[in-house]
Amino acid sequence: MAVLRLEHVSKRYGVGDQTVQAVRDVTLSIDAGEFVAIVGPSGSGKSTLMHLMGLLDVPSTGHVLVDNVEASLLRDRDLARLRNEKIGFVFQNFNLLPRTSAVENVALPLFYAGYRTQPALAKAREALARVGIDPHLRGHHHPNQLSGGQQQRVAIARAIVNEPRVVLADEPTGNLDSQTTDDILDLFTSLNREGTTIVLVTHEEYVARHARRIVSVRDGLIASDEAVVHSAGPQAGVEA
Amino acid sequence: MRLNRILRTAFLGLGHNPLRTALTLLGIIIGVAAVVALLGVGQAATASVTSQIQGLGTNVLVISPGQSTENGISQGLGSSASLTDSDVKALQKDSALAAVAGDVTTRAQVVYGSVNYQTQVEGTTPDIQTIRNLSLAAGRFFNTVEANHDGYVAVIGSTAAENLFGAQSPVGKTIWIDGLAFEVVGELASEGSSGATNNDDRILIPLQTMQAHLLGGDSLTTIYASARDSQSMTQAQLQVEATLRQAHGLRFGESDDFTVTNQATLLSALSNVSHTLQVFLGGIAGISLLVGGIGIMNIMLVTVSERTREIGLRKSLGATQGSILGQFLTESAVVGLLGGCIGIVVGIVGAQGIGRFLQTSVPVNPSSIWISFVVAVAVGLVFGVYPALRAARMSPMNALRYE
Ligand SMILES: Nc1ncnc2c1ncn2[C@@H]1O[C@H](COP(=O)(O)OP(=O)(O)OP(=O)(O)O)[C@@H](O)[C@H]1O
Ligand SMILES: [Mg+2]
Repeated sequence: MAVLRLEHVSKRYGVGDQTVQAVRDVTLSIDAGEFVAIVGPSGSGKSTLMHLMGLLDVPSTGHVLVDNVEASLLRDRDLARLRNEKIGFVFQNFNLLPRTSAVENVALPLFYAGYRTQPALAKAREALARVGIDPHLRGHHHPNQLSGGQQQRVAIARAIVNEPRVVLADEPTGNLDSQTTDDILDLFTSLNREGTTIVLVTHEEYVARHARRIVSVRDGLIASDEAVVHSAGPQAGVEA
Repeated sequence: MRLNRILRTAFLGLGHNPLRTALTLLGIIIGVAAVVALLGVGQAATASVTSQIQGLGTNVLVISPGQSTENGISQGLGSSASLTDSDVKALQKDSALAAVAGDVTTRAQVVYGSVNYQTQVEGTTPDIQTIRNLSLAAGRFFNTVEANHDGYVAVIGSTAAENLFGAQSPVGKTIWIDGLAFEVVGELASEGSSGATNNDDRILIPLQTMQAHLLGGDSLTTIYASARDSQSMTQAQLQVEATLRQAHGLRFGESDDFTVTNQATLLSALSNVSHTLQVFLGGIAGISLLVGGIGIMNIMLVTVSERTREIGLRKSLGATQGSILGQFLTESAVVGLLGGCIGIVVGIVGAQGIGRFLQTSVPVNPSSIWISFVVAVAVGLVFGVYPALRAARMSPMNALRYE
């Protein structure tokens, strides 16, 4: 069953007199439980594609369906609700609120969902524990008191706290060293094993190999869309 | 998002840059304090003049030389000699009047021992005591005999007494007014000062003595008359006018060369002036509130553009346009609210300070407190709307990509 569907989606940006065609007529379907990597060179339209999937931007033409709901027909309130309930975002630069504790950062989507403070914080602590951050030890720390890897874990906890249908991650390891990158990728893998659908945007083949399906994008078009067979852990090759 | 969260977020935003928040607050504080203090000062000024006018008594007519304008204020130019002793004599025959007193006021040099100072010297008759309702702190008023037969006697106001005699009792002492010796026979009870004028800084002497030996001539500065009671004021006023027109030989169609005023006409003239004063002071205060509001708008615009990425993030986490709007509106409303509260306190303290400086009490009207408080919050909201709308309408993707 498709969690996310793009149907003949294209996106044009107007810059002065010129227009940039960032995405051209893409049709793509992502099912529940998948772990998809979107790869491609810089400027190929990966981030644009992810913003369209996450309802952060509207396509110039075509349709975006989240959980079989057609997004172009929705008002702001319903879009906000879809983003809140069905989608979790992870960003390259973590995007945590400064001067706000880790627990409060994680609880933010719950507050927007209308939770009371105490239940929201309790749920946020659970999510922190799931991503390997001890909520009692680090929960009250502010982002500037955490390492990059820890900040990204907090951001992932925030993405999954509402138990969304899909987590969209744009270059989540782009700002991390190789050891931390492995930790974060392992975290994604284990979350996926527990049932979370993950779409991960990256330009590194090494990162992409952790996924079970790789969609490669070039000039706004899907160049290939292949399943990955893991034969021997993360070092496994990519099969056609 | 729940209300407590929205408030928390607003305070978090305000705490982000405390100095900037404080300066924005200052704009509102000054505006609100100005409203509270200036309206208080306006009221104090009005109250002070009102109490002076009310000090006249409800049945007193004040007749001054010179033509009147429509609203009862004397123009008083070029006709200063139109009242004389004979007018007083004519008026004393009027049945509607209980008492009439002529009055000449001048400033003169007064000497006692080594003290030498200038004060207001008023020549008048004993009737003034009942008309103006003057009470004595010590001694007596000069009597009719002294008044009509060159009595060199004086009744002294409390401030003048203090200036000349210090702590000593003035009664029985001899003072020199423009080189003539007068015996002080009484001291007036203090009427209290109101604003800039001091009714206690004066010396009363018999009118006849003053005209014969100090000034010469028989012209008067003012004639005070009292009606039998406050009901017969209109009748008394008409009679005064008729008598004086006849005495001055004015023909039909010629306008009066004197002005009759009473408490009621003075109060209504005052209410025009005080209304203008209130509008004027309120206007100044309003402008400073407006400037404070523009300050809020300015800072909120800066805040919104500084926090563009945060807005994008919040939208990606499920914030609606409404909750972003609410977040920033709450921030500016809190500035208005806090500024309003502090401004009211500053305004009250300021009003007391001004009151001490002017030596009157400056009232702080509860309604001006409420109005300025509501206006401050409204200013916060109104000037916060545009920046908040800008934040709310931002495309989440553009906001996230914002550098
Ligand atoms: N807001 C915008 N206005 C104009 N052009 C844009 C805008 N956003 C993206 N583009 C253009 O769209 C194209 C695709 O951009 P996108 O960010 O999706 O690429 P990407 O694959 O994510 O690249 P990278 O790997 O460097 O992040 C680029 O040519 C970019 O210049
Ligand atoms: Mg990108």
